[in-house]
Amino acid sequence: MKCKVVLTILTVLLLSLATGCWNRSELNDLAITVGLSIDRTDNDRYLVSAQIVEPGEVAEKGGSGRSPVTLFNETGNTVMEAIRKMTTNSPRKIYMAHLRILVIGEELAREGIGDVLDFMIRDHELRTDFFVAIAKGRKAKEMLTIMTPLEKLPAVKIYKSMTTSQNNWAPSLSVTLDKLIADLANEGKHPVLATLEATGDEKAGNNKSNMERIDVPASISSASLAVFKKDKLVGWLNETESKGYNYIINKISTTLGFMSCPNGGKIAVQVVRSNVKVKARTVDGEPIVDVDLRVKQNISEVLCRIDLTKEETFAEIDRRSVQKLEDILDSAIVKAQKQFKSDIFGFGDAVHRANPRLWKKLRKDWDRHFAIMPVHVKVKVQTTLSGTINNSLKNLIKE
Amino acid sequence: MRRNNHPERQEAAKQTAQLHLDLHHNVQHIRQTLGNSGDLVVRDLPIGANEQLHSAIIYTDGLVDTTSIQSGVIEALMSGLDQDALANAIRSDADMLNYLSNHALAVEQINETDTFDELIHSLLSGNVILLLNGYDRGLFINLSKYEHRAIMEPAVETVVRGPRESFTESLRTNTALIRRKIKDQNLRLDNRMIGRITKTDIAVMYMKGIADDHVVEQVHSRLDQIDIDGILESGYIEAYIQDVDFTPFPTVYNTERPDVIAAELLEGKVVILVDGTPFVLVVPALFISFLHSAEDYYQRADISSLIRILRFIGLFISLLAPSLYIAITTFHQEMLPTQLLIGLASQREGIPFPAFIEALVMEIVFEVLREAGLRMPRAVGQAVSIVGTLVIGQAAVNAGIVSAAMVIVVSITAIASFIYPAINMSITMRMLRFPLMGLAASFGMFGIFLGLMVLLLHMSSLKSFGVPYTAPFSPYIPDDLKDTVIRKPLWLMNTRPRLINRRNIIRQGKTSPPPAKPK
Repeated sequence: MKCKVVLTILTVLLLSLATGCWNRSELNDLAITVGLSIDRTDNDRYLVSAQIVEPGEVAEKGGSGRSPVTLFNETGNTVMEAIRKMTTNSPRKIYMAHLRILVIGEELAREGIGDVLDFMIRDHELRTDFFVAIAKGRKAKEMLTIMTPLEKLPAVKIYKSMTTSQNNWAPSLSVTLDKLIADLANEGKHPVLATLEATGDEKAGNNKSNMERIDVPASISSASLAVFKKDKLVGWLNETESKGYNYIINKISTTLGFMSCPNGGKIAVQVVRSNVKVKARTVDGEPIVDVDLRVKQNISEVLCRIDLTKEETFAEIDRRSVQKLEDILDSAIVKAQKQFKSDIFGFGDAVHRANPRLWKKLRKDWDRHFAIMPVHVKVKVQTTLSGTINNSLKNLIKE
Repeated sequence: MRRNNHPERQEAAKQTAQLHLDLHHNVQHIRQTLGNSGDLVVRDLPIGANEQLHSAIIYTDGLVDTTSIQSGVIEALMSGLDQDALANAIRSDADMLNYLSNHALAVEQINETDTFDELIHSLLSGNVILLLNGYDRGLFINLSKYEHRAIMEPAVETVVRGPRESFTESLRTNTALIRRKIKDQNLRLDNRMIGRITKTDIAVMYMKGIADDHVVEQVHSRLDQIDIDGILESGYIEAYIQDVDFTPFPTVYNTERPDVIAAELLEGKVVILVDGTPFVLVVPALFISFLHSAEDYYQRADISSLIRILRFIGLFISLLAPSLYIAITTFHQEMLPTQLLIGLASQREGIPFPAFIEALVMEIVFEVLREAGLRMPRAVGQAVSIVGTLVIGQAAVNAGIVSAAMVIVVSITAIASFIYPAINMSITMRMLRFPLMGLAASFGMFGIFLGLMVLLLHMSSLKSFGVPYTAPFSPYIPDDLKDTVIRKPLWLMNTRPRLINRRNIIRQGKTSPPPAKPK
């Protein structure tokens, strides 16, 4: 009996030593990848670049003056092949669970991103919470070669500035992989992705000296949006259209808008709350979409002489805001309908919800129907606060 | 007496050894039995004006109160006697032993015996023996008095608010401390003696009518079965009466605080006091009671509840912190926030060992420090702690042997392991930490949960004197949850724990009012 117990315990202990600790890896055996870019090469292969953290350089103290990240490049017939090939160059295992941003080259995006995304979804190591962006104008790889201020890791900087601007600046949009996949799989909606643009001297950006100056020579920003039709890039939205797009898909948390004053000059308002309802209805067997936008805003900057102590002034601001917002929304809708013929707003979903039977008929060539469908935009604005002062300083300055 | 090498026969011979009529013979016998011990005092004392009676007073020096012997015995026999009455008594052939104990000896406790065995035992436990020539019986007078420690503040279970007294090594002092808290006729005290050679006094105390009679019976029958040469601490008793031997969990509670003992008695538990140690045993013991402190009941309910929750958090930290760290950093790096991962990775840069070895080394170093801190002479204490902090805190990190994060994890674990009010549960968690670290290193999170599952199953299988160890969680007794992770206000705790006490569960009237509201 005792012998048996001892034997069992021994067996368990020895077996646990024999596990070999499958897929165990120490932190200093990982090449923590924070950014990944995929480009098309001329000979129909993929150029994959991985931005990898040099942990020693990011540490609070120490750091030997090397760059905080390093870039591994490899070409391959498939994305996975290129990544595996990287280990010939990297002393550590490429570890992608903490990927922050995936940048896809414009050329590749125009051909279709479906193929490269398969690996991203299939591999268990990758989480789906990183942002996907399109490199506008340049190769995707170049977006990962620019040193950035404030954040030591460029990919983290891009991730964070996309998150912050999405919350504070209407035209910005950040799309995570899982949302992109949901959009791709959705018949009633085409995806839209953020774009990255590099500005300034690229050569200087690729150097630590980029960070040694106050006014950095090269920087990276995300401004306009990339419009897709299925998985193919078809064009860009400019800033106003991006703003309209974000209003319609209800992604605005707070932003800033401006309009002209009745007697010249400008006034800026801060949108504090924005809520949109997209509803479809059927008239004579044809779908119609109503976009009903409600906005609550505060006055944040007055560059003209108006009397903010009067209620009529607020009513006037409301009126002008409605006008302005309707223009913004229309511009986005028109562009999507006329130029891209791509339902990026998910109006198809609205039709699907409102009238499933009709949707069944229309879904086959929804994009054609989308391009000609009437969209009614209705905006309601409420201007409430005027900040810490009433009338502008301008009113006090006697001319 | 002939030397007999057979201990059992020797024992039998002793037991039957009767006192002789001859005083000299008896004294010689006692002297011989004790091997002419140096601390044995024999005083020949003739009694009466004409020295009609020959007597001898025998005692062990150091165990008795010499002033009492002088005034209560020697003086009384030499000059305190009414000589005429004495002469009369002798003349009328009365029983002089009886006469002396009734008329002469001004002491509280006098017993009579006719066996050497009893005499010698009483001699060694602080009695004074009075032998008379011509009598095959002897008197032993309890005048025991020995040096013992005064009642001091508890050294282990300290509280901010609460009584400042703790038990001492003297059994009588300890029972008195309990009696002073519970002045009730139903507080029962059963005396017994365990240990063939040490003959240690043991007292079993319980509240008659509240304590479960079966448990009391069980305690007695388990104590009966102990046959050991010596009991030097209550730990000896604990080892013999606990339900399961092969478990890391203590199934007998111990405390040095009389207030805790009083509370346990009122809940219906049985306590066992052992002479020579301030630690008193309590059975049955529940897992949850090892996480309760006396102060929980003295502070207000909200404060105590929050502190108990804190203690549970501490429990998990002290048990799991190193293993979670190992599992997450070697298997589940994706669980960490990116910034934290990069921070940890930068600290691990250049560390030569895997996280498991790192953690193991640090834990062992800490355990060594802790043990050294306990055992070392006070005078060198400071040196050891300075070297210890420097070595494990600063130097090891600077030398690149361990990462700073690991130092934090180990320190937090160490501090959390001091949060237990009961030190033996802290030791349990210390022990269990290491296998869990091994499991974490081989199987990651999966291994930790496997280990926890085994632990939980094992705990659920434990019983302490018939009461499930994990009560009131399993078996689930909703009513008893009032005093577990949280503590309800006292006026809501109307009943005693149901499993410990099956009959008399009402501890206060249902009408016992909630705090008065100002009108």
